[in-house]
Amino acid sequence: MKTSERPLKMRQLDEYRWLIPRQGKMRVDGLVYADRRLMENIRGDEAIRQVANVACLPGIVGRSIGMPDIHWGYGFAIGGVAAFDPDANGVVSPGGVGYDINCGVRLLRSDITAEELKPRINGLMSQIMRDVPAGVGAGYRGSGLTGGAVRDVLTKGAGWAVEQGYGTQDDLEHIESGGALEGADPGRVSHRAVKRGKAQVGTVGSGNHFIEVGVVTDVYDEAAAGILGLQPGTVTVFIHSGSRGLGHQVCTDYLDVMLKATRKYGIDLPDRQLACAPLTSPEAEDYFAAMYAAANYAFANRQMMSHRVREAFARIFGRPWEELGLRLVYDVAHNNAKWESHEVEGRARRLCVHRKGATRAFPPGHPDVPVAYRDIGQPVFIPGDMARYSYVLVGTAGAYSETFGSTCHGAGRRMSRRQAKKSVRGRNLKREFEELGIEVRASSFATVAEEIPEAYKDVADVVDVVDRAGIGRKVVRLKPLGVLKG
Amino acid sequence: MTTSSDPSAPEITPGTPAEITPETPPEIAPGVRELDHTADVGIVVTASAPAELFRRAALGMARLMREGAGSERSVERVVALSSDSLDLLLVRWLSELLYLDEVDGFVFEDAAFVELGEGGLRATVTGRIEPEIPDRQLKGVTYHGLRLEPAADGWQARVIFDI
Repeated sequence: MKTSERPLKMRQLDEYRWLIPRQGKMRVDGLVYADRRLMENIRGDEAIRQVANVACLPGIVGRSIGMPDIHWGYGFAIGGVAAFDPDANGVVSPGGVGYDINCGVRLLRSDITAEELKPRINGLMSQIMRDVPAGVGAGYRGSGLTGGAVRDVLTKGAGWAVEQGYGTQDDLEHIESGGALEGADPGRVSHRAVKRGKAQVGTVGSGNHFIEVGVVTDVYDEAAAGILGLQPGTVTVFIHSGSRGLGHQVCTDYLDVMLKATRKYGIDLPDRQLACAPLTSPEAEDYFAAMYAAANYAFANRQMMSHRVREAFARIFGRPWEELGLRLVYDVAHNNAKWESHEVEGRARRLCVHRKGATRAFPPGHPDVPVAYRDIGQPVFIPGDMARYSYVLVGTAGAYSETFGSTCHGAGRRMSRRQAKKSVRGRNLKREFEELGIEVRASSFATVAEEIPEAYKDVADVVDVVDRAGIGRKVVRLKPLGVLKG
Repeated sequence: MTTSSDPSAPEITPGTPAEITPETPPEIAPGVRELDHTADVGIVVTASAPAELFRRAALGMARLMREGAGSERSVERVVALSSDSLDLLLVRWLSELLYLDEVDGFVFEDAAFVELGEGGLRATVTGRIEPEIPDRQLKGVTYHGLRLEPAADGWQARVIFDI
């Protein structure tokens, strides 16, 4: 019987950890972070089985990990982390990165208070809606980048955007990997991917992507909040987006390549979406070069949008954005596969860490954490649903030793999109959000219907698990005031 | 942290794969029903023959992306794809149509297959050029839980999309 068909054994290790012992074709154990209540929900879909499936891949090291926001994905679960060793026939899998390569979140802080914003929020959200194209392919007809500019975006990432005047050098120091992954090769990105992406840079996209203007409501760690510049009552901006059509096409293209590679290298897969190739193979080399290029596109995309948001604030407040203190706190991704050094069984090893719907969460003192944050750890952003709240965390030593320096990435859905749409029939969503004091803008209210707050788990439950399990530390909580959906 | 495996650990059975249960959703296009999937979307397609199955799956995908009809201008495209199995070919077919929608605004309406088999397909597809962006974007057509098999009264396929 295949691992994918048999009932799985699972055992609760402590209040927040569930072990899926090695069984069937699993090469390592699985470990899922959840409390009993979240686990009741997680068990309801295919996510646990997907954690076990990932544990079957060659060269996996440590454990196949699931975060408390884990839910049924394709191939890897959303909220999955796995590391692979090139010296043990380890693999890279586009299904472990996802279609939206390097999708991530960035946070801007400001000196503006919620009271100052209140009379202007309507105008501000309309301005952001005008300045930042939201929907699919927005802006792609009749405009877009030239071939040379695309190559620059794919190699320089956020640095390209700064060169074009979208932001500052200081921004680049506050982005994961400085906003550009080395080793990107535009030559490994198909013409189709370039065509899909060349007019979408600087756009939000649809689905669960958004721009959210919020306010700091709760502070859990004053010292860390102070270092991040997040004062109670001040306004913040979240931007959540990824590599748009370009990244989606890179994933599509390389899934094809990997399906062939899987056969070529005789890899036995429990799910074809886990198609992969040995880390040392030419197929993996090509995928890394293309995937990193798509990652750079995502960094450039978020950089352009955050600059346009700053300009929208400047216009509405009649002052330069610098005077409003609209500084970039950090930009961190939650869909990628990166080469990192981690200690496993007492030995430092260079591993390929896949994070699919999981956020890098490096601890205090790590050289990849910006100098300004080195005492507190890398900032981590955990958006919740459209109405309740979101969190800012920092990375911990616990995450570094247990989860390859990773933590959760969001609330996780609990309702299918069809169920969500069905549940809003007859309701006036616009008015509901107004009553909650949230100004909503969307190119299609169909998206808002699918993204209603009750379609998601309570992100506070998710964040409490990572905080108490020690794989993340709460710093502040934010409440949304204005949301733009694609 | 404990790393050992405990043979006495209680067995749990994670959820069953998506099926058209417990209530059967209405058809979104002839022979196409939407699957309930926690985060993404999927379709179950039934048809009497593979060509009709491919045509219906394409219509179903178009319906997932756009709820209403738009412009009247009808255009034709020739699609030629190779593969080594019918189910992988279905993913490739839908991926091609997704690409055409995103770059050209080409919205699928019908297809005439000149060839369709495990080795590939050739088809003339007709559709309209839609100036507006889709109501819902699909990022990709996944291989996860992909099924294409003979069923009681013809053929059935299941496809999950990333959204």
